[in-house]
Amino acid sequence: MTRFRVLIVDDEPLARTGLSELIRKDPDLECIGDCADGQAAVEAIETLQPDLVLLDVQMPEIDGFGVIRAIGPERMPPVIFVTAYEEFALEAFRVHALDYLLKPFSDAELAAALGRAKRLIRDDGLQHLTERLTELVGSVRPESKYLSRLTVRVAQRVQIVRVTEIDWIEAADYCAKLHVAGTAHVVRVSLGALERLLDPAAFVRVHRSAIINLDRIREIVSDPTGDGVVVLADGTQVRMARSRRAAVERVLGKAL
Amino acid sequence: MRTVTVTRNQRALGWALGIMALLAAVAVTRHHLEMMDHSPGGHYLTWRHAISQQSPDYVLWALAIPLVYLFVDRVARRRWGWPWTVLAHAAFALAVVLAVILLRNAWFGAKDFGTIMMSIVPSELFTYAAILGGVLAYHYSRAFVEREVELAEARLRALRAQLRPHFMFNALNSVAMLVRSGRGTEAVDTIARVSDLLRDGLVDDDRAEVTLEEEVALARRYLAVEEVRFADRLEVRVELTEQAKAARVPRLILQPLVENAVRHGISARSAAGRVGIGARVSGLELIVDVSDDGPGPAALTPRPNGVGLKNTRARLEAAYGSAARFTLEQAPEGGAIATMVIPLRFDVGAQHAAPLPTP
Repeated sequence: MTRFRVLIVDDEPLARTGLSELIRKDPDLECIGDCADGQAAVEAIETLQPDLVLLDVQMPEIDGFGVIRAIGPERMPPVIFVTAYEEFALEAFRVHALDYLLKPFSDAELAAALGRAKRLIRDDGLQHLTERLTELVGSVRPESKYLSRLTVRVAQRVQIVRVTEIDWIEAADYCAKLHVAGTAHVVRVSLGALERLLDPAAFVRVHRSAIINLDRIREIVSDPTGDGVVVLADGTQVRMARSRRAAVERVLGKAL
Repeated sequence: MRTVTVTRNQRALGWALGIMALLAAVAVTRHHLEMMDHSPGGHYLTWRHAISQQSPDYVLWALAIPLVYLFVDRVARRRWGWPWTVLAHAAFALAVVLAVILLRNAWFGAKDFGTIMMSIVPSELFTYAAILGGVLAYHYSRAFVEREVELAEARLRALRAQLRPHFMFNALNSVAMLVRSGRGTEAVDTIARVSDLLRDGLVDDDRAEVTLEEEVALARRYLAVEEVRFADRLEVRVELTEQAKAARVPRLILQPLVENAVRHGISARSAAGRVGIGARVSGLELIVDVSDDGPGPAALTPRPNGVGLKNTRARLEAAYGSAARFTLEQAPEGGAIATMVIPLRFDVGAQHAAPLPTP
């Protein structure tokens, strides 16, 4: 049996190092990474496909529930929620029979939760988990926070891109290409996840492979078939699918 | 808080009216009996007559009491110097007395101008002075009680903030994680900082004011615990001028502002952040600001203007009236900046002469 690959998501550095320390002690587990925020968590879950995620509930901008929403409950690996104190969250975990750990937790409590998770994965109870996660994200009120900036790696540097600076976003394999004032940055987040991380009042998906910033639209040319072309302020033309037309009309507040 | 004040005012007004009604009843009775005594010829004064003779005076003065109270309250809030205050009081007294006389003339018929000026005005001024005395006593005792209540509430809020589950559990978790990483010394340091903070909240300290230096030391203990938790994400910068350090500020006035800065500047975003406390003296005022470099109030909807910090406002108002100002703004270099401007005071004051505990 190969070891379970565990991902740690927590915005506090101490909590991350402490958890990875504990994971390392368990011979069944392998810590494959830790993430300090929601975007990094979505990237890591999509690219690394961990077997288990230890997920902090309270994080800046995109919280634990935001991560699950972005990934989609059906693609979310088994998760153990970690929280200090979040009454509404605890209630939700209990109702949907999801595992959680309360900070600070003892080694034994963590070991017990890890044991339950291992059994769940071995016994293939994941179908059941998907249902419970779907119910969970449906029941917690959205905190209505969206990404305000994205981190992108440019060579060895990490660069910050404010979402308001993004002109449009193009799907590129399992990644997304952010077009920012003529340059393109690749983030390792799927377009679908990115769509759920961005404010739907500012960004709209016009095609299976494109999201555009509403502020950048100069004109929309539609042809009789219902498909169309969105022309951005810098002249870029982005195809608009017939099926996305209603969504675009909804955010613009007018019929095309 | 507002409703409490209103009901308290209503109760006070009820008392005033009740006392006036009692006085009116006594005066009417006395008048009635006097007339019986002095009229051996069987000239009886009817009760109706006695009431109509005596009660209008008391009713008029009773109605004047709330006006006098409102006036005293307004003037106290303005904090003009004493010459203006005295002048305002003199003008108001004359206006009230003349109004009472005019209304009474409308009831009884006018007296000649000379009589009014020579005998009625002075005697009514005495009545006014008596009422003013009562109103002033009530006003100042109430202001005193209010200030005590505000302080007690601030203490409770600070304690609650320190015991806030989220803060406490995260602090304890920091300790647990430090122990797991084998960083025993830091773990013990953190325990000591949390203990300091709890002591601050629990210690029986009745002082309404402390020096800014003490107040900043307290805020720093709170920040120290958060620094362990956020590690490299939180940077604290304190800049106080020597003169500002010795100035008096209401106790526990900084804590909610600092907490706010951490909440919006640090924990609400993933980038590293800075919380700054600055203080300086300008003329006769002390200017204290607490800033963060988070998104700032402009980024929030609905855009706050410090209304969320209404407790801070209420405390400053109770302590300094309109002489204090408080704003929450978008800082020029980004982030939020909360600024309070209060009258500069250095004296400790007799009632607070207890030696300051060194933190």
